[in-house]
Amino acid sequence: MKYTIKKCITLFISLFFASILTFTAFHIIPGDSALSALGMDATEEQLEEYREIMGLNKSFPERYADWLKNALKGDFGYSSQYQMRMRVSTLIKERLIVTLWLAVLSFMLIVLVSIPLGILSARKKNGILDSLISLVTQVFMSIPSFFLGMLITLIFGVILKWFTPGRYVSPGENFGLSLRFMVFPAIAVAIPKIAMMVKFLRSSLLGEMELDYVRTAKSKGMKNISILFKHILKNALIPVITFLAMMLADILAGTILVEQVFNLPGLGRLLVSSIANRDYAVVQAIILYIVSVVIIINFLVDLIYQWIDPRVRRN
Amino acid sequence: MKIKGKTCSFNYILGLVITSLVILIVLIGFFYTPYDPNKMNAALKNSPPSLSHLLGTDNFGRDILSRVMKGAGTTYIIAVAIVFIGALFGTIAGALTGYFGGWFDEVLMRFNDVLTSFPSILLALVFVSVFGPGTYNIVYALGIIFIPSYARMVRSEFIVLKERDFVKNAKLMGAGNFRIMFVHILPNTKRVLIPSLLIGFNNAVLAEAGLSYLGLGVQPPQASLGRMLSEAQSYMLDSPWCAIAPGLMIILTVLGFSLISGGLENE
Repeated sequence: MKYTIKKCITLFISLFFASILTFTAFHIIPGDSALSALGMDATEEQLEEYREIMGLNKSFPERYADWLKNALKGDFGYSSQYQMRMRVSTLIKERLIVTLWLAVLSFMLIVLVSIPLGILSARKKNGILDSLISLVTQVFMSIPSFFLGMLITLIFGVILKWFTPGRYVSPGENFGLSLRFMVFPAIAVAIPKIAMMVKFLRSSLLGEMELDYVRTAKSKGMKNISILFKHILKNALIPVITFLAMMLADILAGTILVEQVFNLPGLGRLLVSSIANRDYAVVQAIILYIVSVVIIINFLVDLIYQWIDPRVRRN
Repeated sequence: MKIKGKTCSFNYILGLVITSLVILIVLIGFFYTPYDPNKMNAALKNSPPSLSHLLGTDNFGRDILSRVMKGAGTTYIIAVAIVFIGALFGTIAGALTGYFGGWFDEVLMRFNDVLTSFPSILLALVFVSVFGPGTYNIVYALGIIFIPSYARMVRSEFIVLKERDFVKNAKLMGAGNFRIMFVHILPNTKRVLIPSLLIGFNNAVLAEAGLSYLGLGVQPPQASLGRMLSEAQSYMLDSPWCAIAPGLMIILTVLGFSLISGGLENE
């Protein structure tokens, strides 16, 4: 219980810290934001009115408080990059689903492929299969996900025509087709992470295999394979969970680049185009979203961790 | 296989070979390229690899081989600068906090924890959106982002090493704190510091490629590996060679360095 409370406090401090950082970062931008929003032809009255509406005349802490209050309600103001005044929250809501869909699919691919490969690699330690897997993982870890995306587009999209490059189908519209199209970007996000995961899982499993309880189980006459699944895997997967959680942050970051390659209308594309158009309200909102998700995932992992491994609580 | 009396793994040798090759290409590129990397030639738009243009030409008729040689050089310089900033300030911060400890250490490490939990490309995007895109800005941004990981690593080495006998000896001999930190302890961290410099270089190459790919790093007409990939994207259908060459260069660079650092760690 004490552990949970401590973690909750850390969670709130981290979220608070992240919100201050996000807010402050965009307030040290040089230049007059009223002037840049309305252009050089704006009259002094128009500028003053804009400042009044946007709250630019208030002091820094007041503005932060206002921003945070609205942000907690899901209101991030208006986007400036489109002709129509779009609410930032509607913009984000549309894109969030795409990114989430991509992230979830990539995550599933990572778990489903890397765990069997890692076990295989550790079981056949130093065998031909293990060496092959380790060389291939090294190579895949060196490929930037967006270049992988370009290769996938070329091979599966252009040459084999298994999907239409640059087309996005939402899962609500046609789930099967959406899955078929989304699998390719998901593979681009997942492959470098699968490689990292296999390497990590292999060393985690090999570390466990040298411990005393494995020797005891062997001397009891247990078969290697049942030792692996009944004892070793349980312990070796504990550090893997933290690694997977760290990877979630990486996946979210990976989607930013891969969405660009596959032309997916997700948060990453919105983020990049907002940066290019200096649409700071949107940038702030997206950064705060992603950072909060990462912090909350880390918090949940800490809780799950102490639930499956009670040793953590005692330390 | 043995080098200087040490047995080395196959992967380590392979890493050395690949890395020497890519570094050689880049070094030659600083002094000589077959063509001017920025010279456009409308007659040779998107021509496939041939004897006169070994890796083909891009949509402006620029020679891809020359651009890869120059562009990889740009990427390497950026990556070295990033690692230099990160490792220098990270080492200083890690050494001070690890050696002295106390509340300063506590505060800095909590701050570190928060920063390292964010994906570095996201932090770089925040930095770039505030200060604007450009080569120097991504060097500063990524350099600063790299500081925490070095600080954390050097700190944990210092905490272990400061209890060792040679440090106590040096103290008894009357050596000052700074002499102990930087003359006695620091050289002993090279076992972990050198592999991490190589890994850092790799991460910097990948980060530069990513940001320049998004159009936020190196600006045209200057070539960098990421910038070239970004330009090649629209011509992927007609002239895939524009993307393959710079992409392969990134892969070989990162692969070579990670094989070497893996070999160093297993020693």
